[in-house]
Amino acid sequence: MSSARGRSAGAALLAVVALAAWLSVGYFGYELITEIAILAIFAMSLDLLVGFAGMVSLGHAAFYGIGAYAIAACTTMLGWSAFSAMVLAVAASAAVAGIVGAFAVRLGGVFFIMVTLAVGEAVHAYLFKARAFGGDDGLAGVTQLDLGAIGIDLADPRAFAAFALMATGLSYAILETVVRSPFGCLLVAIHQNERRARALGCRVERVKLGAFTLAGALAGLAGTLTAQHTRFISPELLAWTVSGEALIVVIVGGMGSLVGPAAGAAVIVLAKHWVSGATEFWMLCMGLAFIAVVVLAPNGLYASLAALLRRLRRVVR
Amino acid sequence: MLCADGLQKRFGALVVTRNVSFALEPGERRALIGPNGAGKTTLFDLLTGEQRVDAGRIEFNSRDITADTPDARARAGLGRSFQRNSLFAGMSVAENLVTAAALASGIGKVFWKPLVRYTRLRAKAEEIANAVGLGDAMDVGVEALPYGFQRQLEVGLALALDPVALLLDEPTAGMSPEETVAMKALIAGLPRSLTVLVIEHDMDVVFDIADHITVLDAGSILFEGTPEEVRGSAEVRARYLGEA
Repeated sequence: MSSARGRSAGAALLAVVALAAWLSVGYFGYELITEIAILAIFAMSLDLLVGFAGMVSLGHAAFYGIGAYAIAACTTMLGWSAFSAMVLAVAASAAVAGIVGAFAVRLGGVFFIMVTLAVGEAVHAYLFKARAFGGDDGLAGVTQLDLGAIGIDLADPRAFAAFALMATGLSYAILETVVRSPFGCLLVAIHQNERRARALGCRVERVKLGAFTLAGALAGLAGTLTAQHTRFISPELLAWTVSGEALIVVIVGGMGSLVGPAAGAAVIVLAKHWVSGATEFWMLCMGLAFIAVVVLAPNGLYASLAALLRRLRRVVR
Repeated sequence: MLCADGLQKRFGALVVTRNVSFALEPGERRALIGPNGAGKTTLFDLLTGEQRVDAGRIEFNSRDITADTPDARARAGLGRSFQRNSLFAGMSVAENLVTAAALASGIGKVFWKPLVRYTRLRAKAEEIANAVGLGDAMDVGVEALPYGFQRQLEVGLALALDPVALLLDEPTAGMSPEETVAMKALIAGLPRSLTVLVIEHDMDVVFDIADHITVLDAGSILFEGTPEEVRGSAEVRARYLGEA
């Protein structure tokens, strides 16, 4: 578990790196920044569940996908503005998470994992077959948010990358506020000792449901961004491997640290980009690298970096 | 104020609680004693709702709580400590007590304001830490805490709930003689407004702090009375106190 001060320092560092990257990269770099920013939101929302509340979900992509599908359906089929569609999409993700969570949070350990996996697969299977939403072809022509009023055109990759980074910052701020609050404290307490929390009067299920719903909403937000980024959605967004990859990002980055998974998102996206350019066996390489990280830095990048900084500080003194 | 009426509990063929009835008066200090396997902890679990009764009725503050969940009973003011330490292992002493105090004050729904802004919780945590002898260990992580201190924190967490009735499950279990004396003093010093039911094996502690003693044997109440009466009972001596 991370300290609030450690997370703030990490967040400041990441913000500087992100700004520097945004100022220095070229056209393709903006695509990567956007991809990283979106994955970071998705992974941080999963970290609230996995790292703080101790609820390992393998179906988090369902809410990501619902967000993406909702904005796509509302803009392409109903002709809504992207803004209203985004609001509705995030609300829809939260609502579905609330319904799923109402059942799932009563289950512990492996049963929770299996139920989230099953729900994720069910939503995926439905959208894969649903003609109304384009079936396995998906939907194209998603409208982007119109920021013309403030002179910004999101069709410009540079502008979209900045927009995605701001959304990541906002998501981090929301999550950081929550984990520092009394509610966040209870989330951690339940993770550490559910029985004791209950014996002290904690409404365990309600707290878990609150976290599950918020995580679903933010995953939905990430989904609306990816839909606007590629302007296209397909059932692939909800594949269980998408949930699995987010879980890998959280583990590599460091569970329960928020900024760790954000950094982990950058590592995974960049590694995928470089390795897949170099070899066809990039999935194998990524798998081996994941094993190496888990063995060498079992608590993730965040914890390893924090330990390194502590040691450096001692040496400097 | 805490009344049990005809409580029954069985696990398979084993009857662990057999028609147990008793009533605690407000402010009473009651000890629950009996040999291992007499069903003392199970009775605690029934009273706090961790186990459901098969039959019988539990009343707390003149209200039927038989169907209430453990957390609802805790919110109604029924606090407990555990026989085996049940702490928030990744937190410091202060964080443990602040968490319990946050739950007691009902601010668990607040998700927008930092916990550290609630300075009164920290003050309360310090007050309780001092009361249970952990005033100097506030920032020590639970895992680095010696066993006796963990035991004190176990009771401290229950106290942080601001209970009306406190159920202590072997608070001195595994403690050194010095620690036992300190715990005895702590229990004896609890405000008289608090009703206390304590499971205890150390007879010195029991005879020192209890107004009344209930002796449980094989799931049913063998004897109930004042410490003097218990000491004088041939039955209790034979069954439990051995040849004291």
